[in-house]
Amino acid sequence: MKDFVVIGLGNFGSSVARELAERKYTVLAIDKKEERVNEIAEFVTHAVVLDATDEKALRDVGIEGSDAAIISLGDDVAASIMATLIIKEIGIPEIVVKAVNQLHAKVLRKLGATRIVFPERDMAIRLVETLTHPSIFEHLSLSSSHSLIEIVAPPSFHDKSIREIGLRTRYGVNLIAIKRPKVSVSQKGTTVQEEVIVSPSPDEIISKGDILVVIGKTEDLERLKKVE
Amino acid sequence: MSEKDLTHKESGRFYLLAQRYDEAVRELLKAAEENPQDAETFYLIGLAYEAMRKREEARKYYEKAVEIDPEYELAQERLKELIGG
Repeated sequence: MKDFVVIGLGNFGSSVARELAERKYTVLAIDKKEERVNEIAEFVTHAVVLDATDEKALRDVGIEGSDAAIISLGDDVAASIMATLIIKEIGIPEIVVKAVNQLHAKVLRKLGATRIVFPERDMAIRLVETLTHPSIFEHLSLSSSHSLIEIVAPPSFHDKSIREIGLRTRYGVNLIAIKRPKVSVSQKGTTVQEEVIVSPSPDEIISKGDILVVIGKTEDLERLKKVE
Repeated sequence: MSEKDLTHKESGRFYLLAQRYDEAVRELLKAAEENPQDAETFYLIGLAYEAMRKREEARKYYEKAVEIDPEYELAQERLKELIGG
């Protein structure tokens, strides 16, 4: 089981800490503001008021055996850089840092951050994608040229098999899964749930309301988005 | 509730379970017209739209169901799921 240390308990850091704790991981949560530490204390393994730019204090709190550190210090670029440097020197193998801009990210990379995240930018891109294409439910960039998208099956696909539609041969994309709504009646009443068909057979028939989870080149996916 | 309402509503539910969502909406809208105070009918229309991935329409009908019956838990659950947060 991995041990995590989360440094900076703003919106992002505290969400990461709580999510890890909910999944039963050991989490040490650190912030220099007492009220933030108090807020999270009941959810995580340990919560400590500490200035993450103070190397001695960080070492004293016993983070040396941690497997991964998540550093998210808001707009305080200097503190984020200092904390990354200290965590690297302490020898924590995985260091994830939230960056505010590309220059910040560049410095963090040079200091040895193993992963740099831009949660606001990433979320903004995903949101814009779903806002501008109502048929897109999810968009995940895999590289500069490939993405994974979740797209509502267009009407021309309804009641046809995957083979007939020719997702790979005609559109050049790979279908990973189908998310299919399933209305059912239970004791509570009638409700809708989602059934996930992973690696569907080529004979699977596409129904109205199906969401296709596909991976492909950006230009091929753009072509798929235009299908009606 | 008249027998006719029941027929439209139950046909709507039948179509819903059979994944024939357009027909479900057609029947349920007739039921709603005849019995505009039945929260469940509006909720079922919401389900049909949600199954067709029409989130805006689904939200509208779930909201209508909750407006008629503020204690309607299933409709509240679906709304929360749709809106997020």
